[in-house]
Amino acid sequence: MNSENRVWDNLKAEYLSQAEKAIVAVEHPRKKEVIEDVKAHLDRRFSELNPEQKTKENFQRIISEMGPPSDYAELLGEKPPIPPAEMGIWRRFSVNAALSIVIIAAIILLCQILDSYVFYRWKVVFSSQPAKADEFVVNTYMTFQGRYVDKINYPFVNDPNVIGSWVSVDLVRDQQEFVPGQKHWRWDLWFKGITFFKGGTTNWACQWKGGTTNWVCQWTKGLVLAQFGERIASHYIIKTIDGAQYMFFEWKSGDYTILHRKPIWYVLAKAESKGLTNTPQSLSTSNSK
Amino acid sequence: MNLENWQIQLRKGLLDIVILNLLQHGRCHGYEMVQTLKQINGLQIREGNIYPILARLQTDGLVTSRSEPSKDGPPRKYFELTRLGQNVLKDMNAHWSLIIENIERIRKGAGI
Repeated sequence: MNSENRVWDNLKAEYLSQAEKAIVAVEHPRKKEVIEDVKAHLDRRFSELNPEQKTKENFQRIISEMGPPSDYAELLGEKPPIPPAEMGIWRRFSVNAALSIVIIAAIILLCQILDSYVFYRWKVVFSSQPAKADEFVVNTYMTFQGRYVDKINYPFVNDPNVIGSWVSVDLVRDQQEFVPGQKHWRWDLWFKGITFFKGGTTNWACQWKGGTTNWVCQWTKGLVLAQFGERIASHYIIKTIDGAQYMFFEWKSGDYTILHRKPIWYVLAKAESKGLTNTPQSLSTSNSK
Repeated sequence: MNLENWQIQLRKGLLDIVILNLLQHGRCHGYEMVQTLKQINGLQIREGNIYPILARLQTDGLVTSRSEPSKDGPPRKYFELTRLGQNVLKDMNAHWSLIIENIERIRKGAGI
């Protein structure tokens, strides 16, 4: 091979290499065919040159007449996708940041679910005994986050004595503190009352400055079963004091679930027996949060 | 406005219809088409440009190709119009005539 041929071969190889690079990102079934056709075309042009025409200048002219390699991608009819390297640094950063946030949120959510619904079952902290023998023992567990959660999936057992509306009259640390007619708690009672429906549903009414909120929960004999983020099984105990029925309702707030303090007790009176009218608002309406 | 750039873009846009019209007179190979186009003032294309266009026209089913041995070198690839290509070309030519006609009307100041 003489030096002119080598020069030509090098120029041709370089041009074909650039053309291949230009269409590498283009999705077209015939792109290899295009390169082969271009190569055949160049070979044909070279074969038509007389020996005296085989100069570097003529070779470069032939290459130049082929057009820039970038034309091949454009003329194949498809815009090449933007390679990642050409994507703006801020755009790449934004995409990666958004993906990271989504992944972290998903992991946190998964951990919460596992912690609340799966892992806690392995760690029973204590069991609280019911007031009566035919009522349920409540098992309390602790999540990895250190919160108490109660078992709340108990079968329904009817309790005719509890059906109806109960209105809060006091709040005490121990049941013995309650004296009918004397309000031990000096401030407003946040928990206004609760209605027990036949069949196992209840309606709580809590009131603060913003208004009243009602929650629907379940009940079974001796227990109110609630799920306000935490799962809580609160004992209720009905006692007759001075001829009137009172309910002692175990109040398991964050003091109990998070700080692990002993639950306090709301004292409620049967609305009908006391002639009270401020029963939970949703007694006859829908039970919405 | 860059006149040269406009001419290049116009030429690129017209290459499909030009190549299909060349092929309607019979089969042809790429090199031959390039040599023909080089003779036509205003349609001189860059020689390499014809191959991606032919590849695209083949993918669209308008053109088909076949390699045949050549006496004076490696096998040559001949291109020819398919039946679909002939039908599409009729529509393209009709549309082209309409454009030319309307551009002429505008140039002469007549309403369309």
